[in-house]
Amino acid sequence: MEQRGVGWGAFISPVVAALVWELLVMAGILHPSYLPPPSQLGPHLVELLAAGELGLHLWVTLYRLGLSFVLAVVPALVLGLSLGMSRNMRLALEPILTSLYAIPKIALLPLIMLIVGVNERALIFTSTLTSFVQMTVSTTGGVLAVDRIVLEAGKNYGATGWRLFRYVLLPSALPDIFTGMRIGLGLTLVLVIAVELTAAQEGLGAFLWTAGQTLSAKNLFSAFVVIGVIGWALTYGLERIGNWLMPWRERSSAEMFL
Amino acid sequence: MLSRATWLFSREVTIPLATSLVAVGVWEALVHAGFLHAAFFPAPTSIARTLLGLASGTEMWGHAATTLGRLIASFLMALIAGTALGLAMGWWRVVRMAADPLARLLFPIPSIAFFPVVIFYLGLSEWGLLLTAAVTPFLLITVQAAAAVESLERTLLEAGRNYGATGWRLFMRVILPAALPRLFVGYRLAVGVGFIVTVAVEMVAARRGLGGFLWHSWQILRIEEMYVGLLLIAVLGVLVTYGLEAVADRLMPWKLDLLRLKGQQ
Repeated sequence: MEQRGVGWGAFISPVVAALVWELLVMAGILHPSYLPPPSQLGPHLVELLAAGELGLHLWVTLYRLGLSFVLAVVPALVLGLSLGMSRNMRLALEPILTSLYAIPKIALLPLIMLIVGVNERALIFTSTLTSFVQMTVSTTGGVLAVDRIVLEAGKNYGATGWRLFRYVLLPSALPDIFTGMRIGLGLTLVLVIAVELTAAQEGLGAFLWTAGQTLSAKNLFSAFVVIGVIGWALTYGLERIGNWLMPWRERSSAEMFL
Repeated sequence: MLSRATWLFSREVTIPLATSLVAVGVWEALVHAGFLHAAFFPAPTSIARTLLGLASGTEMWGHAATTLGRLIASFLMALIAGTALGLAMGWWRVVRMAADPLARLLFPIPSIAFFPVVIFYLGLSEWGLLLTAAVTPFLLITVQAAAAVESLERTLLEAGRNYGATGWRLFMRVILPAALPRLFVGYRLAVGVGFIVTVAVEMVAARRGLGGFLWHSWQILRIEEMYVGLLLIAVLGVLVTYGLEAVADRLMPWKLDLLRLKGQQ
């Protein structure tokens, strides 16, 4: 599918929306303490970041997200590749993986807190599990989706064992593996924010929740924007990197929203 | 075609069944042998007993019905609004230029982050919960619906026109059936996201619903009930994740041909 160009046209409607918002506040129809306009939000966000408090929360959230990804990535790749190549192993682990995949991982938080205690480790463990399950399932799917014809061709050219894996199987499965990492990170971010909303004192979710509870619309929107920026980086930034790393993969703009 | 008996004894059935039974059996044995603390890991039989006890009352079913109702209500909101907007975006250039950048701007924001913002305006109400659960599914369906219309085969459209279909008939008989497989991809993903958000929001802020039930039983350390809540959420999750796929295959036998035609999957 053709890649739709992101031209200047893409900026028209967000800019118009922001202007209308700004005008509605200026005209007195919307109250600024209720819905602070962009002209007030911008400076406030800069102020918060400069004061260091929001930066600290941002750092805590990013740390949690990054740590759980790092902890999950190697086991998930090893297990996912093994499952993709061994039918018996796949069948043996199917019940547990299927149910783990289908369950919202936040529902496992109480159980995990019961085992490791109500602490940071419970949060990290739950978010690591979120990344792990998604990456494992995507990696398995990636291996299974490798075109049999490509595999046969590789074999006919004399590739076996490690060479077959490294030069045929892995490049074909890599786009799916990468997509799995991106979606895994996205789901983990949702989980981290959700846990932070009530069960943590630090992190963007906690800051967002406090802002809402103390009726500070400016803080609320500032935190929301910062969380949004992480989400954009994960979705669009990683997609760019993926296209650059794997020029051979087929792209479709709608797949980005999977 | 395999006969039923051969299927029952094939590896596809025996291996997963065997590993599940062994896992549950080992768990049960470890509890009885004292290696697993029954206060944290109650034996499967005692969880089953709690489940049976709860199933004979109305409370558990009430929670399950609440969660299911919220999921369905938020999904329907997302489905109707998202399909309408997405199809309009696919069809009219102006609509797309206005709505597409906004959808792309909002979509990557983690769905749960909308919750504090929504309840800031609506208060901690049922509407706040439903809207939060509907936001990301709505955006997802919108984008998929727009893409579905845009990626329609021009030949298909031309053929429809040549046979005299215009306006409403063209839409109902040609565009919608051809776009439906792609739309369903959006619906399936959207239900999954909606379910995650619904459970998360219930755990954070609701008393009723399976998420609330789970969180509450953890707080008062009714561990068996906590496991029952987890089990019910898992069952609902499996239904939501894999059920809609089966529905799609049933409703649209032409789906596979179309996707193959487009070189997807």
